[in-house]
Amino acid sequence: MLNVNGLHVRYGAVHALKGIDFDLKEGEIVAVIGSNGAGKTTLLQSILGLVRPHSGTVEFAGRAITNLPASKTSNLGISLVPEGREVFGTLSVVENLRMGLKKKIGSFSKLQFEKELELVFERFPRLHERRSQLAFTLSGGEQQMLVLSRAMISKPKLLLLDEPSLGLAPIIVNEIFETIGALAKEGTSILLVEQMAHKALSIASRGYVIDNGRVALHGRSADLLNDERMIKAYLGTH
Amino acid sequence: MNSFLQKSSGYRGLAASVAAAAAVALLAAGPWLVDTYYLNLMFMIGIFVITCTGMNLLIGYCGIVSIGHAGLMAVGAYMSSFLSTKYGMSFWTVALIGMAVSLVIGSLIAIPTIRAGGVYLSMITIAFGVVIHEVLIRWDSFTGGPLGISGIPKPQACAYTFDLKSMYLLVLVISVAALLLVRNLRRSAWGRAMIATKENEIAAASLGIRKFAAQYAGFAVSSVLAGLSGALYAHTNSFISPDTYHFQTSVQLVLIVILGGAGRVLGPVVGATIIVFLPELLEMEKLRMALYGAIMFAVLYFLPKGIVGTVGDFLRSKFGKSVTAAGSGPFSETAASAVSSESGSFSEAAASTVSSGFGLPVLAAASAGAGATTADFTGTALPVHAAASAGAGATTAAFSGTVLSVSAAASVGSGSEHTALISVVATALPAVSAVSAPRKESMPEREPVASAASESLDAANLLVLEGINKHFGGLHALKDVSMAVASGSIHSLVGPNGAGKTTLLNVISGLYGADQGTFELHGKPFIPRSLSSVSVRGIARTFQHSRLFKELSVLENVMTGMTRRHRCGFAQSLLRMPKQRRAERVMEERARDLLDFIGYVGDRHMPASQLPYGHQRMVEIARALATAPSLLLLDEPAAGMTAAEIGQLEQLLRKLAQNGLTIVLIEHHMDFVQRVSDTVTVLDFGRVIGTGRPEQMLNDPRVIQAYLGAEEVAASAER
Repeated sequence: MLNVNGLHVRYGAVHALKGIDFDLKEGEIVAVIGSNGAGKTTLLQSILGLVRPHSGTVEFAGRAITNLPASKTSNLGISLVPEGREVFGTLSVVENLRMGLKKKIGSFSKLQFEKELELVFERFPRLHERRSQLAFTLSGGEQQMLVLSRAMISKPKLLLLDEPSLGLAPIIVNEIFETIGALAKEGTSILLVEQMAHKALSIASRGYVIDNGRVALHGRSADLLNDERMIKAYLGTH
Repeated sequence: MNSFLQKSSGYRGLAASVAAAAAVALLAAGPWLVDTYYLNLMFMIGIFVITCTGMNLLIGYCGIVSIGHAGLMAVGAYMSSFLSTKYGMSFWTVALIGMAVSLVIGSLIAIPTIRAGGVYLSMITIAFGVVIHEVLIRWDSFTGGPLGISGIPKPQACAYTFDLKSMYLLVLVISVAALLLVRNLRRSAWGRAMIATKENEIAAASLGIRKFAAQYAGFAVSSVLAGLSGALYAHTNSFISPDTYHFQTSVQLVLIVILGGAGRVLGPVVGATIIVFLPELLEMEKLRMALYGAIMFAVLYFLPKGIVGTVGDFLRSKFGKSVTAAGSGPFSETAASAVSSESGSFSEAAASTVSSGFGLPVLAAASAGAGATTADFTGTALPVHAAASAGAGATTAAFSGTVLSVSAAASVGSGSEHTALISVVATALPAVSAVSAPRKESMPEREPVASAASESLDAANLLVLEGINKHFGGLHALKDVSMAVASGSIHSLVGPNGAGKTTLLNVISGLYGADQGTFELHGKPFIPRSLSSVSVRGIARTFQHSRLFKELSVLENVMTGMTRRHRCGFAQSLLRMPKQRRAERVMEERARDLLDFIGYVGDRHMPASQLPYGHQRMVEIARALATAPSLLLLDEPAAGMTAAEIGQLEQLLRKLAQNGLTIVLIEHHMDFVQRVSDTVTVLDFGRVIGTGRPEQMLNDPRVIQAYLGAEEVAASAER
């Protein structure tokens, strides 16, 4: 589904990614773990086309998308949920969700959008309660539900999630992770960047550890969860 | 390495000064090299440089876009011309009066409108410019109406009458002086305060920086310089009329600043040169405004940082010292301790990153094989890197008290397949360091008052809240919240998103006023009226989303925290007086100490915008500490940190609490909260549902139901 080969990214004098090799299969959840500044967000941005790689290739569904801009890659079905819950604050919940449709608005009949909405509200009843509220008045957990749903409405084949747990109460984190698991079961491939390594690996089938711009370690989640080095550096003792 | 860099930047500074002196000398020779036509143009450039240097301060540093400064130039020009033609007063006197009147009128606009800020302020300056232009046309008796004032005498000094050549030289001297003053200001606490309020008013106020003082100072300087350049122009040209001070002149001034590069000291020089010469070279006098419009478009599209800004950035990326993934692999010592066994790429990564990023006092000493390792940590828990030794041979690593950022003695590999790293956490330090030297682990610059207070009150409460209520419209965000924070404790606030935790923090720190309720600080009544007044009382805070000042360097960010207590007078900062230089050195040293204390050993002169997220949070804590608080409020400091980084944060908070600092913490990482807190208060729907020891609160069924979820508890019981 997604193949990344020898990806290098530089920002001026800073060498952010130093040859990343990486793959993701259809319907799979892959976790990407690493410290701050290791290059995780850069990796997501270069897949989506927000950052132009220095060298290396990115292939999506058998098609080279290395230098495609974000506007093109999102049409191919790649959707990013950025770090920090970027909702359109002064639009209502429903209006925010409609933004997920982007240009399909013409081809989408009103009825179909209503159907999509129903699905969203079924998954997150809380959003139904707040459907006409302005997005900035939502709590952090509700905003995360909203951006996740907004990304889902665009029916992506590949969903890139950047730290969905950031600043959320444990009970909400569980809810969000359950949803991510459910989305994968429905066939969406998910690339999950997360600091809560334990949680991320418990829903992902495989994980990559990025350190200083390189893949330092990768393997099946179950193996990583028991790896000494992982426990010390990223999982903690809990 | 450090001293080498400093030296080389010293040489670079010297080279720049020599180049600048040469350029000024060449310009001073101008009158004897070019004819009158070009000299006239160069004189005009000088006039614009003087005005625009002040406007650069206003636009680039304060973020106030004034589109009415031609009006202030007119005030200086007309005031001085009127007095010298009517009463025969000397140029030197009338120029001073012109500057003073310009300052007064500038203040009349600035004082009521700075609080409005932004677009409103710009609209008011436009209106001012238009009004002044109308006054110049209508007030015949003073301004001479549309015909203006003619026959303005040339300046005289000791029977010498200035001509164009000598006026040009005078203007050259004044513009160089103005540039130097603005450069001094940028390097002072005043300059940092201006940029801080421009970038983030709330964060600046939380550090005790008052927006009004900083921005008014900028407006005042620009008014005086505009008045001065007006007077200089009038007395050189001998004739002034309202046409010179049309609205379009104001636009032209803004264009010069933006084209050159707002916020760059040399921006106005480049901008003025282009704006004056270009229409002449292209012989486009009639299309002047169209040309300016085109330039404005081009600048905003292609050079948003202006010419000086863009060229400067380009040179820096080309010739600046190369940074290898600046600050990446932040808390790399811990990573190293975890990963330095087999995998080649791993240990390579570890070795390459130990010289940058954070290293909190997680002291890792390692011995392997037959080697005996003695690790002797005397004194402080400053950023001491992992000392990892492998293979045969004895390694003695001695870290002594004040040595800062001892870089890693990491000899990994070399045939040894295992490097066992024993992490010694900072709390275990006393046992190790008891061997020698008195321990110096105190926080740099503790407020004596605060520590005295915390000693005398000891077990008493530092902060007591009673019946706090806060409404936002129909939303009752805080309902009768009462809470007592014990001195020297770490007090965590937990609860679901939207429970009111951040609102409570905002109320304590003075961002919102409470509708009801009483506060007591150090046993005395306390009303959190505004962010800056709360900061004065010794309460510092960080924000949920990092609010560092992105244009300022890491070091400067921390220095902004000391503005309130260490800032010298404005005039002293402009002139860079010895007292002010000393104060700057003190601030810089304290900022360095604080960065050492939190364990930041990356590049200190890097703009904060380039810091990775986790580092931003740590630097923000250092900045808050720079205000020398007795209470620190942290809003989700661990969000987005890895387990290892959270471990570092935990050590830091412990160390701060040991130093007598009281900490109130909002956090969602439950195991972190459990390990670090003395007390936990749980909020739900704006109400306190319980306060107690962490293990007690986190096992409370109500807390589990509202916040943790049954699954989480089961999981942590398993672990």
